Amino acid sequence: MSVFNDMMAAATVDRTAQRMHGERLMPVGSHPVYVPQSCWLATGIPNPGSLPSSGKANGRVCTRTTVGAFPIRTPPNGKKNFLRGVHYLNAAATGVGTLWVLDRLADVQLAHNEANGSITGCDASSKLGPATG
Amino acid sequence: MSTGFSAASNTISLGYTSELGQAGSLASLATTASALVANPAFASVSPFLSLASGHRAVRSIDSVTLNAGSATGNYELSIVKVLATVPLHASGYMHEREFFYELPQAAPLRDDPCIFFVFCGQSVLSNTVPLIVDLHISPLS
Repeated sequence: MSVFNDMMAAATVDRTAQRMHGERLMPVGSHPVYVPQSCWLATGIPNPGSLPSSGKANGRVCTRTTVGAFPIRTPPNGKKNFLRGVHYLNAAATGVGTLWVLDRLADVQLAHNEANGSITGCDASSKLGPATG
Repeated sequence: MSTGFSAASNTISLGYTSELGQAGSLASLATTASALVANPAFASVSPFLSLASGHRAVRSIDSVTLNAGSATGNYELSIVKVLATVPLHASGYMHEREFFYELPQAAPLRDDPCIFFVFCGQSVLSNTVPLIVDLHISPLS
């Protein structure tokens, strides 16, 4: 029952439950059927996502303060935020498909003809959790 | 994709470190000629690249090697964690995944998550209509 109690308390007592509203206008252009498309750069709410500068030396770890991310509050001490629900509408007349909800741990922008070499900064090792099991 | 690709294609190898610290490589990936912004840079019906056998996650992306080609354009590589998938069976209706009823599937979030979306449509999309998404988040013990 502790989970239920936590949910009820978050919704009614300490007000730590969060509802984040997002909207994305799908990117301009003609897109093939059954080709996944990222909404990261699309306009809407929150603001369009940012990109790290191009180049293998400019990898970054992404967080809730990265431009384009939802400003999700940190959980109270001793607790962890969970994704409790996703409500989703595609208003397109022909918009049947699948939506993935992802946490962007780290990224890097590379040129198509990037010179050979090491990529730095694109490390999510502290974000993966236990590697056993 | 962050900028459109030129009409040519390149062959690229990428090195990574797995969740257990093992070296891995994605060898000889051919980029898609004339790929559009927000579309996959590599030919695939999935937004994800396949890892070497036995690897389940990526700790870091380590190296890039241009094997062949001279095409231009920029692409992004991202390490992501899948939190949820939501099938949309009919357009124009609100769909939901309510994890209160399927609590074991509820994804724990890191304290500073960077949540975004990828959409795969069964038909050509228009840029004149929005995807509308509400995320419901609760702290649990």
